[in-house]
Amino acid sequence: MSAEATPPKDAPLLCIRDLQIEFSRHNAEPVKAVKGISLELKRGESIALVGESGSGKSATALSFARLLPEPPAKITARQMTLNGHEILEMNERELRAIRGKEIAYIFQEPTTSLNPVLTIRTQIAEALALHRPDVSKAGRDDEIVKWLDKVGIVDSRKRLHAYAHELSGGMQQRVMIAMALCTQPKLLIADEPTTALDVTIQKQIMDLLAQLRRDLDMSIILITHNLGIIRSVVDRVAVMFRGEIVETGPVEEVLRNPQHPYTKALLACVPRMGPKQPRLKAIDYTVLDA
Amino acid sequence: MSLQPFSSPPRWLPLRLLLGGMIAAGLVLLFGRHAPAVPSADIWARCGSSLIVLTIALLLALCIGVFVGLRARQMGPRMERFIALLGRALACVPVVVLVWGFISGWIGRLGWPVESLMPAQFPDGQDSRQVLLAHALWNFLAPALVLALALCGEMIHAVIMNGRAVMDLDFSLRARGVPKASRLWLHHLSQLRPLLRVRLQSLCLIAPVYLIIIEDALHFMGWGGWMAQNLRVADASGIALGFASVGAMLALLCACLRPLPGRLKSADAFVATLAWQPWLLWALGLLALLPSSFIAWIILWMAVLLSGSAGWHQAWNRIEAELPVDAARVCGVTDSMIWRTHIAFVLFRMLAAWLCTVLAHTLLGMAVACALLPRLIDALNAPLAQIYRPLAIASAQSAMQTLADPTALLQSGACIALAALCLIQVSRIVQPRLS
Repeated sequence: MSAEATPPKDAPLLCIRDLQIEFSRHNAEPVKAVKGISLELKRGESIALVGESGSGKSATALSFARLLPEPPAKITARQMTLNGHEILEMNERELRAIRGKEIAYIFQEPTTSLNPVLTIRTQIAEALALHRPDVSKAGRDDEIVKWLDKVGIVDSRKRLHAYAHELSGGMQQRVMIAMALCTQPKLLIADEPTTALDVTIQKQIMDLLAQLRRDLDMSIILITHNLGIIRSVVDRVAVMFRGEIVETGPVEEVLRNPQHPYTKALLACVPRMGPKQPRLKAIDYTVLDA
Repeated sequence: MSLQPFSSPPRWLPLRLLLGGMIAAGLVLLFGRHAPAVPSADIWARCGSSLIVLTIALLLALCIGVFVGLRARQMGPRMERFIALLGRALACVPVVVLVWGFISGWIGRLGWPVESLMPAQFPDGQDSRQVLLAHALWNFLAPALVLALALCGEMIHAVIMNGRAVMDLDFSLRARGVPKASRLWLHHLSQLRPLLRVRLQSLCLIAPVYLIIIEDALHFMGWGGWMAQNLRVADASGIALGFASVGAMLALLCACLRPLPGRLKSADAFVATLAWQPWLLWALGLLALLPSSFIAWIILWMAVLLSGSAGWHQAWNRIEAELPVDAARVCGVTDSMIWRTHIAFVLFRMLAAWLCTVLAHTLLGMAVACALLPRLIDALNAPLAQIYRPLAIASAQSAMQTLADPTALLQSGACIALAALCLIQVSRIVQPRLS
C-alpha cells in the first residue's frame, strides 16, 4: 500500500465497480446481500445511501474498509479503490492502517462503541496515537479539546476525564464524531448516526455533520432509511433496494422528481408538517415486484 | 473447587471478614468452653509466611487466568468454550490430588528440591544474601505454585465467562483501526477488571482451606501447617485462633485488592455478609471438634449452602425482576395463575440447578474434609468411603505408599472431579436464562 504513488487530485476518492457481497450459510445457498453495485465518489463530495432495512446499504458501507467478517461474508468487485488503494488486495495490516485514518465510521449506537471503563480522553488519545504521529504526546490533550470544541461539546476540557455513562446520547455521538474526525479522514461513513437519538438531537447531529463537511472539506457517505434528513448534508443520493442501486442522482433532483417506484414509495413514507397532508402510505411491494 | 454463582461482595468486606473471623472464633471458644489462646510470635511469623504464599498464588492465578482466558478468546468461540470447560475441570480436581501430584512430579520425576521437604545443607560460610534469598524463594515457591494451580482453573473460567458478559467493542474498534492486541489487552481487559477483582476476592475465601492441605503436605512452616495440626488434634483454642487470624489475613488481602480500579454495585448487606465468609474453613473447624457421624456432613452441606446463598439470592432477584409476566398480567391473568404458569416453572429449574451445584460443592468439600480429617471417612457409606479413602494421606506410611503408586489417589481425584464437573454442567444447563 505504501509503495503506491499518490493518486492525482482529480481522481475519485472512492471507486466501486460491480460490488457483490454474499453471506454463506450452513447447509443452504449463500444469501446475496449486494448484487453488483457501482459507485463513484469525488473528493469533498458526499452521498447518501438510502433504503429500507435489509436493502444492503450497511453491508456496502462496511465492505469499503473490509469490516464484514470474511467468512461468512464474501466480497467481490471488478474494482474497489479508496484513495488509489485497491481494498480487496490489502492484507489485515494494511487495512488497519487505512481504517480510522483514511476512512472513518460513525455507528448508530454510540453506547456500544465507547468503552464504558475508559475516559473520553483515553479513547480519543488512542485514535490520535494510532493515526496522527504529528501530534506529540504533550499536545494530545489540546488536540482532543480542539476536536471536542469543534463538535460542540461544552466545557470540553472538563469532559476529558468523563466516562461514557456520564454523557447523554447526543453528547456520546458527538464524542464519536470527534474521535472519527480527529484523525482527519478523507472519507467519513455515518451509518444511521441519528437512529438511536431523539428527534431534536437528530437535527443537531445532522446540522453538525453538514457544518463539519463544509469546514473540513471531506467526503461523507451517509447511510439512512430516512429521506427527510439528507438534504442539508449530501450532494447526491443513491437509493438501494434489495441489494441494488435503483436510482441515483443529485439530491434535489431525486427528492423533487423521483423516477423509480421504490423511491417514490420511500418519499411517500416521509411524514410532512402542515395542514391537509395526505395519509402516509406503506410501501406496496406487489407493485415493485411487478 | 469452583465457586457458587457469582455474587457482588458487600460493602466494607474487609471489616466484615475481620468481624466474621472474630465471631466464629468466639463461638468456638464459647461452645468448647475453652479460654482463648495467647498468640505467640511463632503464629504471627507463620501467618506472615502464609500471607506471602497467598499473595503470590493469587497473583499467579490471576496472571495465568487472564493470559489463558484472553488467548482463548483469540482462538474463537468453540475453543473458548472448551478451554472454559477445562478451567472448570481443573477447579474441580481436589487440591490434595494436585499437591501430591506436584510432589511426585516435582521431586519424583524432575528431581527438583522443595526446600520445606528437603532443606539444603550449606557448608559454613555459604550463607550469603543470595543463598538465603534462593533458599527462601525455593521455600515459598512450591506452596505458591500448587495453590495457584488450584485457583487458576476458576480464574480461567471467570475470565472467559465474564468476558462474554461485558460489552463487545471489537467491531467499532476494528473500524477505528485499533490493533488486535490493544482491543484485547486494553479495551476488553479494562472492562473485565472490576469483575476479576471480585472473583479474586471470592477466591480468597477458599484459598486458606487449600493452604492448610498444601502446607501440611509440603511441611511448610506457615499458618496452614499449624492449622492442620490443630484440626487433627481438635484443639478448640487453636482452631479459634486460626479462625480469627484467617479473618485478619483475608481482611488484609481484600483491603489490598480494593484500590484496583472499577467497582461493582454492592450486594444486599445481610445475605452477602453471610455468604462472603470462609464457611468451608469454619465447617472444617466444627467437623474437627464434633464426633464423627453422618450428621457431621450436614454441617459441610450447610456451609456450602450458606456460601452460595448470596449468588442464588441475587440470581433469583434478577430473574424475578426481569421475568416477562406483564403480558399475562394485562390479559387479566391472576397472580396465582401467573405463579403457576410462569414463576413456578422458572423456580423449579432454578431449584434443580441449585441442587446440582450444592451437591457438586458438597462432593468437593468432602474431599477437603477427608484429606484433613480421615476419621470422617468412617461415617460414609462403603462406596463413598472407597472413593474418598485414598485422599486421606495423614501418615508418613500412607504418603510413601501414595508416592510409590499414586494410581489410587489419581483415580479417586478423577472420579470426584468428573462427578462434580458433570453436576456443575447439568446445573448450568438447567439454570434458567432470560436472555
